[in-house]
Amino acid sequence: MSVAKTVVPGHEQYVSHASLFETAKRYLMKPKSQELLIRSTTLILIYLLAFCIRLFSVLRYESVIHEFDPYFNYRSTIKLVQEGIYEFWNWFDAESWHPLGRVVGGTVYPGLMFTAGLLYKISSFLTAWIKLRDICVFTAPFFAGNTAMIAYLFGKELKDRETGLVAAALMAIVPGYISRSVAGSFDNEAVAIFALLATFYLWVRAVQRGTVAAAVLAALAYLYMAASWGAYVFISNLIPLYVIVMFVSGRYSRRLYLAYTTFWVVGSLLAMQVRFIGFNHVLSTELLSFNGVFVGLQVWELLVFLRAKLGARQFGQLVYAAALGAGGVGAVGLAGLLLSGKLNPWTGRFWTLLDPTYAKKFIPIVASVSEHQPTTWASYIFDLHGMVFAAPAGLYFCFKRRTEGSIFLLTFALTAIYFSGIMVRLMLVAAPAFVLLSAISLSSIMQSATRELRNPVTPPAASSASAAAAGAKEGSDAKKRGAAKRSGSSSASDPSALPHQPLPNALLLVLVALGLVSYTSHCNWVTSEAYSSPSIVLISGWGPHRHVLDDFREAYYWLRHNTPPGSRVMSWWDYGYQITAMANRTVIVDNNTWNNTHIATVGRAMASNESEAYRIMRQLDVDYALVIFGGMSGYSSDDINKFLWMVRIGGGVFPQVKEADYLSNGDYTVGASGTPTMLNSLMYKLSYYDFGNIMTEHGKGTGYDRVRGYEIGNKDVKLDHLYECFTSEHWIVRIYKVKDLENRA
Amino acid sequence: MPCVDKKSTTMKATLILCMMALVALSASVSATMAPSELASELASMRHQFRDAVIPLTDDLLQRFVVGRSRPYAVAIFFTAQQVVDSNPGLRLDDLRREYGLAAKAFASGPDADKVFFFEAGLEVSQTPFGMLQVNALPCVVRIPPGLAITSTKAPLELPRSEKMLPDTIGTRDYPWPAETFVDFIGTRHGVTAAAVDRPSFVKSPMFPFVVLGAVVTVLYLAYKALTTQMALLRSPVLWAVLSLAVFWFSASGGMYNIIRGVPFFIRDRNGKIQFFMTGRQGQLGAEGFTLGTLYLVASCGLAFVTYLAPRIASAPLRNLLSLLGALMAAGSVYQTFTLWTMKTGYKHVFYF
Repeated sequence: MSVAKTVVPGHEQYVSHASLFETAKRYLMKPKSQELLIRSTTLILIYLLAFCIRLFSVLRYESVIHEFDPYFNYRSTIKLVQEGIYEFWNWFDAESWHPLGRVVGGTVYPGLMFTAGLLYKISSFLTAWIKLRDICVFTAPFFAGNTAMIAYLFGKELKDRETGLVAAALMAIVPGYISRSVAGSFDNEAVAIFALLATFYLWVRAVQRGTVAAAVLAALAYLYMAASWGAYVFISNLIPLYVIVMFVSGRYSRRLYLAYTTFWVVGSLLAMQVRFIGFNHVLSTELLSFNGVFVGLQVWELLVFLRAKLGARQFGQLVYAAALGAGGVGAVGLAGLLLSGKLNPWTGRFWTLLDPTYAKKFIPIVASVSEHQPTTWASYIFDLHGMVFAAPAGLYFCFKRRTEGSIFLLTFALTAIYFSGIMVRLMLVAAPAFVLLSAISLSSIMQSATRELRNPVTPPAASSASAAAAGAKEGSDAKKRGAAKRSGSSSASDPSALPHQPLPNALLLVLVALGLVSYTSHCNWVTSEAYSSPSIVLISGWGPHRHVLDDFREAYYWLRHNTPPGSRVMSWWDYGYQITAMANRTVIVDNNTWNNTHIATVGRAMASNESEAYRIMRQLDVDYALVIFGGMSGYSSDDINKFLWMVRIGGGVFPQVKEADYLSNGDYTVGASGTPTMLNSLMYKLSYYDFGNIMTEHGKGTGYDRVRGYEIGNKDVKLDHLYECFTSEHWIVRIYKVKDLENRA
Repeated sequence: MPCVDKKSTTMKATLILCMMALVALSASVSATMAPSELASELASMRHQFRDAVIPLTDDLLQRFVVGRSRPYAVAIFFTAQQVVDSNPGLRLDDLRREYGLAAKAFASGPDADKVFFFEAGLEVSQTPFGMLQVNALPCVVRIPPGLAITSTKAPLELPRSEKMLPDTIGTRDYPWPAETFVDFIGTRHGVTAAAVDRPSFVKSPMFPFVVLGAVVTVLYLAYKALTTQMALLRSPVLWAVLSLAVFWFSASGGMYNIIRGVPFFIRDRNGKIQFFMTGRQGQLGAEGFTLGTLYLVASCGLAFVTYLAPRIASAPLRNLLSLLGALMAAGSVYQTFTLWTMKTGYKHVFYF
């Protein structure tokens, strides 16, 4: 209030007896405060929108953790909250990968669990007693709102406030990001995209400010990213690439040097604190450019320093000698590191980005994951909609106005777009790039179109007034308000007064408006239809024919309550996390997939005949075998459809498992023409035990498989070494007990 | 033909008679010809074809394959153009190339006259397909020298060990390399071949010159770039075009085409060329690149109207070009969504 008391010329004097209404009215009359009010309201609404659009699954089903990996994260979060940080840090999990176990503390990115644990502690401290599960379910939507705010800041840094608002609005509902951040998808990506964008924003800010504090802030965001998701490698390769681009394009500056050096020192030290990363951060080839660019920058600065101190001739001699020496030492050192195995070989997932056909050829376990498939043109429309059209126009703008920020955006966007073409999953990283580019182009289009519409024929002084009037008439949109100011200034500076051009610009505005409305409804629809099913509870049919299939939880809770606590369950790795988290039983393999041989052993057991499988299961101490079966309910992603991958992965380690034995004339079938190996495999028997007597569909014979669409080949399945102990309501989960060895007489 | 007059019927009959006589003659010729003459005739025939694979006709089948025994083994590669076009996943073209390499290896080896390579195309003749009961591709058979073949009409039972099928050879290293063919057709039976000579750019006499040229060009470019203060490297136009190319390539699913080995177009059952594949999964090469271009056209329209058009001094021209740009953008957006709806079946999209 003291500020208001000082009398500024041209301002109204503060009146102490004015009513609240009058004060508010006077405040609202000022364009600046109106703008602020509208902007903050818009941002709050965007935040709420980002949160709310992700709640479809909670409304339609219930507050439940989704899919597979989130169950592990949920289980780890429980561990963290119940037993504390140090127990979690040193956690050796004997309940998975029996009999090997897994060192969880050292093989996990703990950022997500710490985030959820912290949110839980804060809410408990504030006496808001929210269940830990609900905290976990709502972490992703909460962070989506935060990401939208970061997008606002980033857009503001790149161009102006209006761009920031458009970016926030686009970011809040972009399907490519929603796909990984709906309520219940408690996965690393949920917080990692926030961390990624925050690191980029703070990095651009650090380069523009050129202060140590700003760079340390960026390094802290980098720590959060490194603690959350393996894609931190993307950041630590992109930022050096950006430095190189800046260097080559002749925009290298001391600010950049300061930012990078600080970021490297602080960021490396912080990231090395994550146990899973540790010294890999220095030694790994994946981060070679991160460390190499740092060394390069130091050498460059040293050279600049020396040249200032020495004469040109002496400097030339020195450089010649030093280059020879450095080249020799570098080559010997690199060879030594490679030979001694200190430099880690490039990991498979990274290789696929450079040589896209690598994974398909050599690593079945990578190729088998559907989100590792390459992207088609239709996916771009599905995940980005109108932004596919708007983004290249944003590229144009960035090239036209080359600032430090826009060059960074270019580097980020081009690499992200390239990688998104290789794996569908990386659409997640490309989405923010598309959002920022589109925000730039859309706000430019709207600014330029509204500027032209506002009749700049009138003299400059009148023009700004008329522009303000037009802005007021057009009402509540903050973007247009900003544009109004701009139009005033630009028409004032523009000597060639342009005549009124309503038609093309009006058309353009209509086009953009329609595009944005269409984008919104598309995002809404995609979220509702495609990205909001928890896949642990299934719904089939519509309206009165709606069925809820809750077989998974039914079966997992059956295991929890009806089997001895130490029992070991063998299933395909997809269900490992769910079994350990919900059934609280030990599994042989799970979604961590760290040991390919172990997975191949399970694949081999599933692919072998019963007696051979029994031998393997005895070796692995298996008590129960669990299969997912869709033939009764029509659930198509069941184990029979995944079976060829089990054969392939099994065959990759054990040559006696041959894919050809399971194909009859090149076709994969479990019908009458199926091969004997197929019809005698453990997977077939466990899936179709007793199924041959069942009528599943009207007008079809017994044993009609509703997923495959034909009758099965062997209807009379007999089990010798296992017996059925549980089949869920719709037969989706079937559990068998492995018999003990028979008593010898 | 709805009406066939007497004349043509008699002509047909004569023709058939003639052909029968010809077949009988050739059969008797092959019966009378000495075995070594057959082999040398085949050897000379083989030279007429670039990769030493002889296209199999009914006549050749009758002359060189049918008989009590032969002094050489016969390898037949079965193919059908329709299958090649419609099932690019089978990669029959690659397989055929490897087969040709194996044939050349035998033709230039020490046992050149002990095995001959044929190719049976469904379009040329269906007789070999019927004779060997081939109804699935890929299929390559070896007919051993001692096997008696009485007629082309009667089905010939070959043991599984003489057929190269995905079942017998496996699909691990499919398409089977020429070495697999050499082993299957020759080496297992004691017939030796020369080393497989893969045509490679590295082996060509031009290779050292090309390498030299590339090195010189790179050095020259580097020199130019450095001496002219990297004018080229710093030209934003170059980078802008490059980045649009990256966008175009990625957004049109170019990587999908490479990884999946998708062809540009396929032929349907009637042999008509199809550029567009409906269904939510997959795409064709031409389809993807067309759509990628549409994305860019829409975007360039927007960029033009926003950034370039306002700078045009002449008002009517500016008006007209802006209108054209906006219409172009709207048109390609509309077209894209029409195609997208057609492909995916999602009819939800409003307005566009």
